This record gives sequence, C-alpha cells and structure tokens, in this order.
Amino acid sequence: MVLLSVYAKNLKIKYKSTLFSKATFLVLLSELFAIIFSFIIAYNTGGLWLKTASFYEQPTVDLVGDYILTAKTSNATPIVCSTYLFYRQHLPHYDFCSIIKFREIDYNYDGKNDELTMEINFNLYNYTLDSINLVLPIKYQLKDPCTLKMQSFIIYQYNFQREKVTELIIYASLEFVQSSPISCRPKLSDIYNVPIIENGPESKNYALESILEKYLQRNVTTHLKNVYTVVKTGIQKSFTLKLLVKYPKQQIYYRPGFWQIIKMAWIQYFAIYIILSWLARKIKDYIFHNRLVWYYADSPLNKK
Amino acid sequence: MRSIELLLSVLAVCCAKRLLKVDEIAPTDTPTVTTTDSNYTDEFNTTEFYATTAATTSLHNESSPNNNNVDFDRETSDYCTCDLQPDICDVNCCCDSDCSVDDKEIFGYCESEPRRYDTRYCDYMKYIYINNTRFQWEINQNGLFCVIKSNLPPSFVVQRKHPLKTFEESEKESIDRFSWPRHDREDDGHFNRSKLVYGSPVWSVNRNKLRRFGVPNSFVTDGCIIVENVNFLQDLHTSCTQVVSENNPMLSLAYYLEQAKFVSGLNTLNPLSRSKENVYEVCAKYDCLSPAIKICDGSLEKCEDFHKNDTRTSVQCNSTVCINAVRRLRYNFNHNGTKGLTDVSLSVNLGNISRESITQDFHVKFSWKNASMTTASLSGNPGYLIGRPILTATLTRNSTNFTTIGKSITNYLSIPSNINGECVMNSSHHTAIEFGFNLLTRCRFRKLIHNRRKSPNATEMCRELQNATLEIWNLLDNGIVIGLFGNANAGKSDDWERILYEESPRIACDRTRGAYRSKDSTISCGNLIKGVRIGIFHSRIDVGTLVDQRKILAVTVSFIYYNVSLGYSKADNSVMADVELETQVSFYDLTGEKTRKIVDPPSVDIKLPYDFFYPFVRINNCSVGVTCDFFVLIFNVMLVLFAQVC
Repeated sequence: MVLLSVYAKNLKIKYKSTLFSKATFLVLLSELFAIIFSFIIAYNTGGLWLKTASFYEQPTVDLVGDYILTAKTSNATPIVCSTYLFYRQHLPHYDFCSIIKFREIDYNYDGKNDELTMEINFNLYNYTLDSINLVLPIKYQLKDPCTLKMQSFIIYQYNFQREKVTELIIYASLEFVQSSPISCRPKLSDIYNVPIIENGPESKNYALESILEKYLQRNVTTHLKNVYTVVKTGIQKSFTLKLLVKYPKQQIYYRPGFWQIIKMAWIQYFAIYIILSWLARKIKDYIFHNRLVWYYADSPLNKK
Repeated sequence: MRSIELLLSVLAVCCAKRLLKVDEIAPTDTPTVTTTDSNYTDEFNTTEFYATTAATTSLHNESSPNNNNVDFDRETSDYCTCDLQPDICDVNCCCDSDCSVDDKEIFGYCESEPRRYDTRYCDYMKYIYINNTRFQWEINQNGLFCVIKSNLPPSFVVQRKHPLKTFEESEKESIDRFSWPRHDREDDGHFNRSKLVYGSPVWSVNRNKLRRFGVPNSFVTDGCIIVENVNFLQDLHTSCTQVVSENNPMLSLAYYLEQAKFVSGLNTLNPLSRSKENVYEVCAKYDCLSPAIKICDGSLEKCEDFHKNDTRTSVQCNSTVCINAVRRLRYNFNHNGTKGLTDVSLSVNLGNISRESITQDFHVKFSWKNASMTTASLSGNPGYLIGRPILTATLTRNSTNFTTIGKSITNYLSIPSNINGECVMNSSHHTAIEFGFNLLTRCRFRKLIHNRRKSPNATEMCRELQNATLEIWNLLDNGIVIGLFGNANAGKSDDWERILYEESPRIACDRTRGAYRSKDSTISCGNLIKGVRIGIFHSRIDVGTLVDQRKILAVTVSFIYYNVSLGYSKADNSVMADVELETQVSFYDLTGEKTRKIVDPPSVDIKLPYDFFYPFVRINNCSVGVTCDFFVLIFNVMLVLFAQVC
C-alpha cells in the first residue's frame, strides 16, 4: 500500500524563560533590532517621507473678458485699449482698437477649453509700432486631486524692429509655473482667486510694471511657452494681432496628505522590516537551537 | 430578458462581416451609381434604431421623454453636412448628391462627417465606406458577428434644443458664462460730502465748477497723457514729458493759477453757494483755499513770493527757446486732521527751455498744520528699514562727553553721484546708500592741479590730487560716526559708532608718492586712491518684544590704489588728472541662528540660625559647611526612625 502525505501541520514549541533572563533580553534585542534598524535604513536611504507628489491634469481656463493692450508707436502717442474703468476714464482718446474677436474652443466637448484664438485689430494711421503688450486676465482651475482656483494672466510682450508691421501672429501654449508644490487643503484653494488688477482710480494699479511685480509674487502663475511668432509687414494702416494659445495637460506638483505620506512610508518600511525580521529570526533559531541561553522548552510532544 | 433576446437575434443572424472584402462587379456600359447601401439594406432588412446613449443636459431637470428637449432619433442619412451649396457640387464632399461620378474623380479626399454610429451594428459600414467610383460594390461579410436587427426599445437623446422664450430666461442662462464686461459701474468722480479720511479725494474749484484735483502724469509712454488724482494725506510725485509749444497751456503758470482753489473740508463746503450740479458761484474764503504762490529755484527750496503784477505767468517762445516755462511744481497742503485743509502753498520753478521737449515734475505733499518742515525723518524705529538711508553724523568731543551733530552736507551716508558722467557730491546731488542694497557706482573725476613751486614737486601735487579725491567721498574727516539704529539719537553717543578704516585717510595720503620725469615731462603718482570699498555689517536682533530689528554692527572702509602717469604742462605748471572713481558698497548680514537660553534655575539660599540644630549639628566644627550639616541631620533623623520601626 502506498502512503501519501495528505496533510501536514507544524508543532509549536514554546521557549520559556523568566523576565530578567538572557533569553528574554536577546529576544527583545532582536525584535528591537528589526523594528528600529528597518526605520533607520528606510530613512537614511532617502525618500521615506513623501514631500512632493504630482499629477497630470488639463486645467479649466476661461477668459474673464477684460483685456489690456498697450502699444508704443514711433509717435509719442501710445495705443491703449482696455475694458477697465480707469482706461475708459483717463485714456479714451488712445483706444484705437476696432475689432477684438476671440473664441475659446473645446474640441472634445469635455467642458474644458482646449484652445484660445484671438484677433485684435487697431488703426495705426501712419505710425510705426515699437512694442506691444497684451494682458488677458483668465480664470484658471484645477479639480482633481487638488482643487485650485485662481485668477491669472496670459501676458505677451513683443518689441518690433522698426519695420512697418501690419500683422503679428503668435502661437503658444499656456504653462502652469509654480515655485513650490501647491497645497491640497480646501481652505487654501481660493487664496489666489482674487483679481490681480484692482479696479481702482490710481494709475499705479494699471502700470505694466506694477501688474507684473504683483503677479510674479505669487507662488503659482501661468506663462506662455513654446512661443512662435510670425511678423508680417505691409502698407495697410491697421495692425492685426492674432493669438493662438493651447491649454495642454500640465504636471502639477502638490504636497501629499498625511495618509498618502504614511502609506508610502509604510510600504518602504515594511519591505525592509520583513528582511530584517527574517534575519533576526535566524539568529534566534541559532541561539535557541544551540542552547546558548537558558530556557524551558514547552513542547506538545512532551505532554502526556 | 431583453439582453437575452438581443443575443439570440445576433446568433441567429450569424453574419460574418468584420473582415471586409470588396469585390469588383463588372462595370456597366453606362456608369450608374449604386451604393452598397441599397444592396446591403435589401439583403438584410435595415436596422431601425441604434441603441444610443441618453445624455441629459437640461438645466431644468426636465429629462422625461415627454419634454421638448427630447429628440427621438430618426434616419438622418439624408443630411450631408458638407453640402453647403445647393444644386452645386461641393468639392471633396462625397455625400453631396449634386456631384456626379465624374465630379468625384477630381476630389482629393472626402470631408468627414460628425456622425455617430455603433460599430456593433451591421449597417455602420455605410457611414465609413463611401463609393466614389463608377463601380458597384458588393461587400462580402466573411467576418464574425454583427447585429442586423435588435429588439431594444427606441432610444433618444436628451439635449438642449428648445428655444428660449423670454429675455429673463436668456439672462439667467448667461450667468457664469462668458460675456463682455458691462460698463454700468458708477463713475466715482462725484462729490460726496463725507468724512475726510486718508485717501479721500481732494477737490478744487476751477471756473466755478467743482472738480477732483489731480496732477499730470505719464502712462505707457513718458508723455503727460493722464491726470493722476490727488488723495487726502497721500503724498504724490509724478514726472512726465510735455510737448514744448506756446499753445500748450500746461507750460504756463497761468494754467495752474486758474485751478488754484481747493475745498478745505467736505463738510464745511457751504451748500448755499451751490447753484447747479457741482457749480459753485460763490466759494467762501473758509470753504475754498487759495494757495500762496512762490517762485523758487530748481530745488524748490529758495523761494520768493509771487506778485500779482508778475509777468511770468505765461510762456513765451521764439524759434529756439521758450522762457518762463513751468519745470517743477509742488503743492504743500497743510491740514488739521478731519477738519480738512488749513492752507495751501504752491512752489513753482520757472525756467528757459529748448523747443524740443521738457520733463515736468509735480510734487504733492501733505503736512500737519504745526509740523516743522525741517524735521528729518528717521530711517527706522528702532531698526533700519530696507531701502532707507544710513544715518551719519560728525563727532565732536567736549571736555567730558561725546556729543554728535548732523553733518553739513547730508545727514546720511552718501557717495558721489554720476551727473553726466562726472562725480558730483554736494547738498543737492549725492547718492545716499540705501540699507540692504549692494551698490557699485562709477563716475569720472577731473582735477587741475597747479604747481606752486619753481620746480615741479611731484609728491606734493600727487597728494593734492589724493586729498581732492578723498574730499569727493567726504571721507577725510575721521569723526564720522554711523547710527547703529534707524532712530539714532544725536544726544546719545551710544547710538553711534565710528567707521572702521583699513587704513586711515591720513595715512593713505602719506603713502602717496610722486616723481617728476623731465625727459617726457610727466609726473608719476603712486598709491593714488581710485576706489572705495564700503562694507556694512548688520544683524537682525530682537529689541524687547520687537523682533528682527536691523542694527548696524560696523561700517568698514578700505581703499583701492593705483599708479598713474600724468602729463605735466610746463606752460601753466599744472597737471590735469582724469580718473574714473569706483565705489563699492556691500552689505553683510551677520544674523546667526537665534537661540533662546534659559537663565540658571532659581536657587534658594536658606540660612538658618547657627544653633537651629544645635544638639545634632555643630556648624563651626563641620568643614564642609551647611550642606554637610544638613545631610548629617537627615541621616540622624532616619536612624531614629529606623530604630523606632525595628
């Protein structure tokens, strides 16, 4: 008759010793070694505590509807077009803009604009453009996993080379720039959701230098990147600025929450702990097997 | 149950179609366009409906099938989205029924259509394969399964297609969507009889009309194109360029005299004098202040009163120059808090200008009525503020104490200014070192040194040049002290510290040597100073409960030397020195890590009478003192207690 090993089970032998004994001390030491040394290794190899994490998201970008366009000409007379009250009160005679046309395009109808096309036309008369500055306030929003609402800008500046420019075409992408990881706490999601240009009566609120200074103090800003321009010259007495800005997905860095940090740390810690715990167990096996310390073995084989 | 029925129908059809094979049937003699659609549908009974996905877009939660927003699917294959010209063949529009087979041969591609179809159904092919040829197509469906007919119920799409009926409804829908800004905001230029506070408008009466007072300012360009409003208690400095012309009224003093009546206080303005909207025919003396006009020099410090008969009120130009043009202008408003303005003075600098253009400066300054104009402001209280000048003074020694007094040139640590390339250091032109800003300046120093002896004394002339150079930096005086805090008091010598020189200016002068070479008539100067390095060491310290107050710990000065050969003019016994001087200012922040240390824990020194424990302790006999005696006492007590327990 063939004998098959159909079932197996382990016998549990308990090694017993007194509280203040070498055996107890060694067991305690080996456990502490596994626990503490795992942490030390995990910490010293770096990256135990996750301080920055990132995600990809396409932002929701919408134009506010206001704009500031300033252009310097060969004449001392500037060209200033804006919807702000200050400009309409103080500089109505310099607003030569005749057409402002734009469209925010959502190609895949997911509720997020993918592209902005804008066209601004103004009369040049016989002037030559020296430089042009365009400031477009936008609403910028991120939703998942961190909520961020902010009012930001699309800013574009160009200096011409004294030629008779009649058209400037700009292709660019809108980039999210952050000087430090954003916080995912709901309380902080709205701190930049305030207009940068205060609709006040003082000219310093609207001077480009003060707008830029105030804007760049922020932790998070938006900038145009991958900017390509096409400059066309001609004999027309008007100037056309065409802007095409794409809103691609962005890599956003954020400060992870408490449980995310703990989760990542636990994975690293536990991986090391298993190895050290196995090592400690082997040491204990060797000590108890060779009876290097005094103990009493409580084996079920001895029980009758 | 329905899904089972659908599955049964699919299995029953068992129509292989995934691998498409197009067989060419022999062309007919006369080209006829027969699409595979007809063949296909004839063979397999057309599907009636797709199983479409319902999408709810209504804002009114009207998603029931009975609603008008519901659009039941119907056969829309008759539509051709690229067919935009009726009765004319649209190029590259393959579904245009106006295009013949011959027309289609010139097409480069087919315009795609935004059409939704379900690839699970057999008839989806009619949307993706379009026959533009004169041949008939037969599609062999030798692939796997597809659905010919399903018994699913008719589906529909819920979408917004119902026209808006009212304007209010459209207004409601436009909320949170883009719309151009509406310019219905109230103009803030209306007179408001409210309490005067910081930032309230300042009103002037010009030609009997009440206007908000402002001064010209530049914007975008440097031209005077806007009027900057002046607000109560807010000092203002504007600068802009005017076109020079007799017709430009803003160059004439008369323009500023016309609008020179200011409303002293908003509450005091007599409403009875008001005849029409904002028009004041009578402006009482106490309601409206006429400024005292003063004609001043360029710095607006030396002034003389303006007389009514003065003829300099209007600018007069000839072909090259305009005279009596307003170059600088300062309004000094004295006020008495909420009671408003008490008096106004207008200081004007007139001058002759070229016909090109002129930059005008406008200053507006508000002061308390009793405030002294000569009071110098502090640079911080107590710690220095970033950007404020560094206080300096000269030290004079009395018989017993130090006392400090302000310097004659400037009360602040200053270096020469670069005026058109030249080094200039006087009361009106100098560059004050601003706290916290590292600085490097260069300017050119020219000096004619005369020889006062019969034969050229090179060393003497070089030292004279050295002295003149040091004078430009105002560093000859060893008694200059620096205010340690921004509020350094002239009466307290502890508030001031001397400048630390690497080498005393006197020694630097003594080091200067010169040699005359008659061969080429030059004077060689050695160890001349061409630059100064100023180091300012500071730290942020806590003063009482105030934290991070910036204190200057030291100011050091060292010199940069050079050697030079100067051409000696025998005709007038002189040399012309032309040196580029450089000044370097470096700020060193010595603030270390602040640590709070706790003072030693409190100790109680208990002194008992010498015979307090007389039978146990003999203080006079114990050499270790009171501590020893105390332990002996404790030991004795324990012994007694132990004996009792036992």
